[in-house]
Amino acid sequence: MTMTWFVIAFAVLALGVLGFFSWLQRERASGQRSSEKQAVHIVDLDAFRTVMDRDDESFLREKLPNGKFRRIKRQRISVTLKYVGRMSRNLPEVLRKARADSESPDPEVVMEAARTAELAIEVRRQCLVMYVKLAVEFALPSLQLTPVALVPRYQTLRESVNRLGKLQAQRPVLHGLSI
Amino acid sequence: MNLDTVMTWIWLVGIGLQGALAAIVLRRKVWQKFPFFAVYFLANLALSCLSYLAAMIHTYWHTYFYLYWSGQCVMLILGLGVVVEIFTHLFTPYAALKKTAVAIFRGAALLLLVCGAVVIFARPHGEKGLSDFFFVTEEVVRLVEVGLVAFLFVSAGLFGLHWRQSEFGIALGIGTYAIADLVMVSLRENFGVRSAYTLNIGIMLAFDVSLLIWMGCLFSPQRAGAYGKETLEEGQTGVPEKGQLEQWNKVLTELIYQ
Repeated sequence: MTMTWFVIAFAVLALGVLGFFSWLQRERASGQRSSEKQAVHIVDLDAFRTVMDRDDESFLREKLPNGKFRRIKRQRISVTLKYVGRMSRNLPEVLRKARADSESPDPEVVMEAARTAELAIEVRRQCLVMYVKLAVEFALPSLQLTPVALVPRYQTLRESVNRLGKLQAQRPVLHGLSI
Repeated sequence: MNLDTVMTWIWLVGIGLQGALAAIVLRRKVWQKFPFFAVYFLANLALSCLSYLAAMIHTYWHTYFYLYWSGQCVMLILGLGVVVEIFTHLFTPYAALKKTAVAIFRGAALLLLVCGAVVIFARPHGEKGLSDFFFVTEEVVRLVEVGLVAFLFVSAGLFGLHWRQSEFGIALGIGTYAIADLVMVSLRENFGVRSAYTLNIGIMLAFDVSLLIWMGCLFSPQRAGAYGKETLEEGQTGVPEKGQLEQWNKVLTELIYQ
């Protein structure tokens, strides 16, 4: 009987996963349809770089008592998480466009789309690593884990998206994407 | 209305829905893009019709038994094939991710097979007969199938991959049916033959729900690439909430003037 309940619990969990992602898919689709909801947001990379600055953190560690430093570091992490979340949320849209472009008759567009998709996947992977590292640092503020090279990657992705946009500009039906 | 009549009606409605879906599959030439799904679905239709005929003409019990289970074996293998097909469709455009995804997919399949083996060995060994062997095998294959479909949804969600409407619908339909079948087969192991009728009705209804999902995704026209529909609020920057930045500035100012 225990095994039956184990199997049923597994099935219910899988049903939950399917239900959640179906809901997410619907939300994304309605987001694309609705002009009020923004699918893409520009990320201020300079501000993000500043929030991530390790020198700032070292300065705070030197000047502040332990308790206050921990509190401020946690605030800093929550701000960083918002930036990472925004970057991460832009990527499905980039991937969707890249996938659509990969079917273009223009080989240059196809190549750039493939490069954009690869970069987007890489940035998404780094975002996931960053989430884990930030969660660990949030729990243990005295830790300083190796920073993820998210900013330069995102910058490269942005350039690639812009190039793709320029290639599309030759076709009046399509518009570029700004991230 | 007794259970026999209810079952016959659900069976007939299912065959009717499959007929309608077959028309869509043939009209849209689905086999060109999803050959495994097309074969899976058309074979299912053929099996349903044969089983119904066999039941109606009151054929020998053995004939029905072997027809049903040989058909189920083919369906289970084709079902796994459909999951792999969707996986291939989903990850093919992302060359950078495909290698990692294939490795993780194989790992997940292996882990699920181990779970399946645990399920077989943890069952009480008093069960005898070919029928019980088939039920346990079906349970294990469904466990693997459900796990792989869930893996597909989770990995696509984690990497923010874009599902096409048809891929998403096929995966959702096959996942829904596999989950329902897994639950019913597991329950049958405990409640025995007494509950078989009720559970069979549950399985048939779940399959009809999957048929409706497939019809919905294959019948409705694929949304255009949605190109050029994105609008971007000018000057919008990805900054956190104002309150947080003000708090942050205040702390920094205090530090500077300390």
